[in-house]
Amino acid sequence: MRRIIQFQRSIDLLLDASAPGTLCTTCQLRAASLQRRQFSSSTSRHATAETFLQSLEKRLTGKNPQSQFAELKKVRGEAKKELSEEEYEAFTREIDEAQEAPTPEPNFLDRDAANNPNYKPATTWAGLSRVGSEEWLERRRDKGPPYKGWLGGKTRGVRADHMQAIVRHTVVEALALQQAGRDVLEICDQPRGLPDLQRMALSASIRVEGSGKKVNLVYAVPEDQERLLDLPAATAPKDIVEAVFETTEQHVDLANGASTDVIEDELPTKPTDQGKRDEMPDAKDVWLNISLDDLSLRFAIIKRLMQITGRRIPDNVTNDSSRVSILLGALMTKPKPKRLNQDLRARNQLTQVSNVELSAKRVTPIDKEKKVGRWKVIEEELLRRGLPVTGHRDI
Amino acid sequence: MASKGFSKGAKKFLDNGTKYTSFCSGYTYPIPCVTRSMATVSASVVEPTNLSIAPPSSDPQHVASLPVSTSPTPFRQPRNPFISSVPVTLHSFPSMEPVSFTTYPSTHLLVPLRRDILHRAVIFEGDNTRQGTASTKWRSEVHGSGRKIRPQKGSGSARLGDKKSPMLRGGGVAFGPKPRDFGTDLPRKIYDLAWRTALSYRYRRGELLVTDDLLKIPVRRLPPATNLKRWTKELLEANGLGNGHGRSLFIGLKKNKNYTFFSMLKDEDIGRHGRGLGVDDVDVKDLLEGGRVVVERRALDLMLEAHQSDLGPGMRFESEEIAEILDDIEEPEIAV
Repeated sequence: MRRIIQFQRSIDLLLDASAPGTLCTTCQLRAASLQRRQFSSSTSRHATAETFLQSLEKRLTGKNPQSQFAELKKVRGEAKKELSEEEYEAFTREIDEAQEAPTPEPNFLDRDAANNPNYKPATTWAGLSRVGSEEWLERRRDKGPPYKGWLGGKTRGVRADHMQAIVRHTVVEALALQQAGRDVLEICDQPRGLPDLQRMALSASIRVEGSGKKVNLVYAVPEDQERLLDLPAATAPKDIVEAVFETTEQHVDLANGASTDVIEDELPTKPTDQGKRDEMPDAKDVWLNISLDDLSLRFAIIKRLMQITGRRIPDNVTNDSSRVSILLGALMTKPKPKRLNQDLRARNQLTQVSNVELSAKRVTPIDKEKKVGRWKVIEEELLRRGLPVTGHRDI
Repeated sequence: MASKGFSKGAKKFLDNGTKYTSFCSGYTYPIPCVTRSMATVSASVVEPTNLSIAPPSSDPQHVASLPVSTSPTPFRQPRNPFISSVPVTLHSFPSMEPVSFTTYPSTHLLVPLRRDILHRAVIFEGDNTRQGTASTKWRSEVHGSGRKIRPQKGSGSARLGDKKSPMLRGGGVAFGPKPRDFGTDLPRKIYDLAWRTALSYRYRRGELLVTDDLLKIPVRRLPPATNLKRWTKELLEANGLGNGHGRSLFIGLKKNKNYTFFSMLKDEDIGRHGRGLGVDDVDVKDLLEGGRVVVERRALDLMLEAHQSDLGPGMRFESEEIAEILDDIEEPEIAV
């Protein structure tokens, strides 16, 4: 507890108006909100006010805001190592609340020499906020909400082997709703996230009859059917994938008297061979042959997959997806690289050849000079003579 | 670029004062057009109904004497196995959420790629867009007298007439450009096929997005102090429609050109992310430029209806809402 008292003293000094004015008010307040919650239980230190403030100033008054966020990340990492679990949770919760809370307006009166006797005008612009530009004015006037689209703007990277599990899960959910006579689009309703649903969906066995148009679901436990329909689905692929690989393999026995043309489905297994991660599943996975000729079913599955993966599935893929296998193949296919050098690097072509060098941008004479180290001298000489470094001089 | 009113390419195919339906009007084929239905495959060709079948005589006295009329079996046109329907996802705007499927015939959105036809159409549009106003003065048009500069013989130099000769400095230009019409002709059916080929090309690459709603920003639902430029930019970037993804062409009905979204796209900054055009200002070249085409459903229906002259009457597309669309839009301005 002694350490906390020492830190509290330094925090009080920080918040005090008599603190040196070289630290901008925004940074002072931000530092105060951080330090109020930050305490270390590692080696004991006799933290003096000067040392603490100096280290704080170094860490948080970066030239750009990104260094401050980088520091915040480091602070979180250090706290995680040094604090107990409960303390760390409380610490992160308070930081998140502080970040979400609006930054209070700085007290500009403290910056005036008339009000603050310790005020010293800054000699550099490090840490000072920039005001007065057109963009700054527009940002201040803008009180509107950010745009929120349906996809969310962020693509969730899903591995190819996980994609199989996600597609199967989605197909089972859709079929369950369809067979219950409900609207298939309910699978796209906003989720609240429950892991039990994945277990029920993945332990259900799919029976495909004929050419894939007649599909039956057989549940491991009869009560699963009702619960599957009532429970909402989770969106994050991580939840679904974790549930897939935690579930033990279960094989549902075929009911007695089943017809000979009914094929039993097998659950997806955890890939043991890392090299086969990107390969298509075996033909014995019968659920891949399920027909998607019913456009309402196809639409619901595709919309749900767009929700989960965050990727927009184009109409040409939709048109070709008469079966689940085709849809899965399209989702597992990596997009072609846009640049030639990315394509060559991905295919590992020409990278081993000693007299070939791949470059991300066009190699100009300036790049060649920079590589040799002559460019600095050339540029200096051009500037000394008053000649344009690049382009033409305006006459 | 397209001129005001109709695009120069399509302008050639319209008579003065006619509307879009001029392409389809005048044809009174008995076989009805293939119609589009929501979320289902389009109906196959229906058997013709205009063939008259002679009814059997009802007079009993004549039954024995008159020969029994055996009505000929009506000809049933076999179904074309190559025509199918393609699903198109309808999105809401501005959230770009998939709302439903609709279907269009494969004759309109799954046309095989013909680069030569696309080339001809683009060149045709370019030719007709040319102003053709370059002009120079011929020797007779240059200001000056026709006096002979020096005598024919005796000066020791070459013989010369007036000072306006193209050989001399300050003289006229020999064979210089004159204002003329660079427009060329292209059969309407080829142009229409090129139009649908361009749309099919986009569809096949997944670069055709159709919105069920109009391309309008919900200004009334946003707080008054919202920076609409910032909001529009976020809309384009969040949905992968902006500069980082190859830019997009937004096509709306003509009257929507004055809407906020289209006026945002005219801004210098936002304009780098996309371009907005009315349905009558679009060319084949516009459809092929940029990363993708985002089009309102009704505008797409209008385009498909207006560019299907090369199709037989049994394969024409007819939108259920075309009458409402035509009532809504103004008459296009056609420069004579």
